[in-house]
Amino acid sequence: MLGKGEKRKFDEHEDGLEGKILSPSDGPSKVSYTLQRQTIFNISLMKLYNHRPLTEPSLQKTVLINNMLRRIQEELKQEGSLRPVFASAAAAAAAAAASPPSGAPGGPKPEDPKLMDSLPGNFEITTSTGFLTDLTLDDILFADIDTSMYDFDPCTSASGTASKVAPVSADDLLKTLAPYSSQPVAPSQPFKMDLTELDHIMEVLVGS
Amino acid sequence: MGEDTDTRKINHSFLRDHSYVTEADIISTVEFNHTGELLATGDKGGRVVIFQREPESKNAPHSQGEYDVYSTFQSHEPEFDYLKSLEIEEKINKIKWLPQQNAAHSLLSTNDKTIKLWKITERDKRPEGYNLKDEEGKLKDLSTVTSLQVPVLKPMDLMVEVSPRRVFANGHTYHINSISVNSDCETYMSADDLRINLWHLAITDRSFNIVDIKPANMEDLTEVITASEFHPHHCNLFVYSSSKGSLRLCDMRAAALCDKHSKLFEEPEDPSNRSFFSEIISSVSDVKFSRSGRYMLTRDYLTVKVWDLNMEARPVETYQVGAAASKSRSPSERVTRFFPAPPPSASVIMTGAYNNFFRMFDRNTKRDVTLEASRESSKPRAVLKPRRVCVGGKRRRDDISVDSLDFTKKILHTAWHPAENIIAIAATNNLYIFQDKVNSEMH
Repeated sequence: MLGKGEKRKFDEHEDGLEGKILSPSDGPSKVSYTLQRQTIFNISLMKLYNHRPLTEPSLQKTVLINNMLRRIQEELKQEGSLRPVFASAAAAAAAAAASPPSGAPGGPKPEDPKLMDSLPGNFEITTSTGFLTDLTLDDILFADIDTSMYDFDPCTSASGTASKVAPVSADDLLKTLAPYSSQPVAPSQPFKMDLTELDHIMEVLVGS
Repeated sequence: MGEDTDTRKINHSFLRDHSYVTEADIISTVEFNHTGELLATGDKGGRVVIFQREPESKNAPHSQGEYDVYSTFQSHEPEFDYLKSLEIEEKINKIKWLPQQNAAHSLLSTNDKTIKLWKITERDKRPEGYNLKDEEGKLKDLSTVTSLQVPVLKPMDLMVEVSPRRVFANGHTYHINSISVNSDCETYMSADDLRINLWHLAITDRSFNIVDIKPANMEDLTEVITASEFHPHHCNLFVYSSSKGSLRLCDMRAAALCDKHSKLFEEPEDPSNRSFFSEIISSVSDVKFSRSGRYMLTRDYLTVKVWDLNMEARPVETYQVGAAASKSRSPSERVTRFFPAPPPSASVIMTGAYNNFFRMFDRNTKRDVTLEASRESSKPRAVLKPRRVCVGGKRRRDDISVDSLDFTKKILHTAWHPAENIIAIAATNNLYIFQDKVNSEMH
């Protein structure tokens, strides 16, 4: 039953995502909490964008998923501290993302124009890309959340998932994320985030 | 529950192939009319099928009170919104019967955007003996007409005619999730994700907006309306539920725009139960008033709750739907809507769950039972066996383990006959009708 508070062993965490009330400050279980959060983040983003292209996405579903993503974002902001050297870059990117994408002529996603023209669509694009931009800079650099796999453009799917920034539990993160990633990743590969790849992701997501 | 009388399938005459479930057949709403004589179902293909209860006959005691197909019609068609380049689904979201005022029956059916008023009439006589036309309807040669006759009404096979009487269009920007006819029998309301409109049943080109929770900046949107209903007796009161799990009771006498609620029903979150999915789980999928109007019934992901209108702080009763419902892994499953059914006697609550199970809770004895609606597990007129879901540990012979539950088989829609212990359960594309013939108590 949900919310019973039982702690499970680390390798069982995939079986019952809901069964946990691990707080982020617990020692060894912080890792599984982080993984859990990452997995939920992944699933949520997939759900957000995974709808039939011709019909309007359900506003209720979008709102609930966005609320969850916002909560995760809040938690991350509280946990990690913004390094001053990247703060301005983050702010600039956030501002760029928040301004409505006008036209997005290079629009990599085919459903972009439709989503931007409709009210719920606007809501989707601006808020969710707002998240992702904040998160891509703050958190990829701080290795908490990896959004480099969210490359929805089929033309550019070749790049972007090859290298990732190393979190504390790198191998485990990969193991968790492997099912969702379309490309096989060697667990022992050293990770590094390429800034050009980061720019590329930003372009895909924000359309600027 | 006692015997089950019948299992009926939706009329498949529209389909090409009977061997698999096509999406258009999935039942999306079930509603008895006020006497229980008629049962209407809507499906994803925009069709409405109405079943009628056969009058009890002494000759065949087993066939008394069974439901047969009465009428089938296409209520909504798929449309295309050219401005947004998006399809508008024809799926029937809700059907509500109007109180019967003459020989005809009327119902409201709605998809995401448009509400329609349908009138259902019976014709069992036709006039014969026209002077100017012959039996086939062709004009007679006037030279052959030598005398005048008065046409007489002759009986004919019963024909059920359904005609659209009103179309209430362009009232909603977002998807309509519920409609509710007012006790004044003149007005009704329709609710979408962000707004609720009040309509007059006779006026289609105008509606009044009575609730608007759309924020000035859509990026600030965190809550949507999930269901709404008028009070059964007070025509000025209505309630609406939100995705955050709160209920708001509004009084239309207070203001033209009821954004400020009169009462707010919300259970404080238990901090020890907080998880990533707390909000999704607490989202209310449906709210219904009890017959007396004193209580409200709400369904969220894990529970069914009974609220007393006089107490806003927390529900008076909470029923766990069970471990079955809590094991789903994907967040999108949790936006599923389950519709509870307020029973005539208000002592038993029924709600649907996963794996084609439905649950019934007896409010007096506090006992509950899980039953299954499937053709494999129940034959017509056989007694339903209670099912048990086990969550690991000891497993008895007929138990279902929680891991083998089929979460794609959900019972989303149930309805209870207004006067008798007859329930209708919609499971995907099948409609099950169960009846308690022996007595009204649960076993």
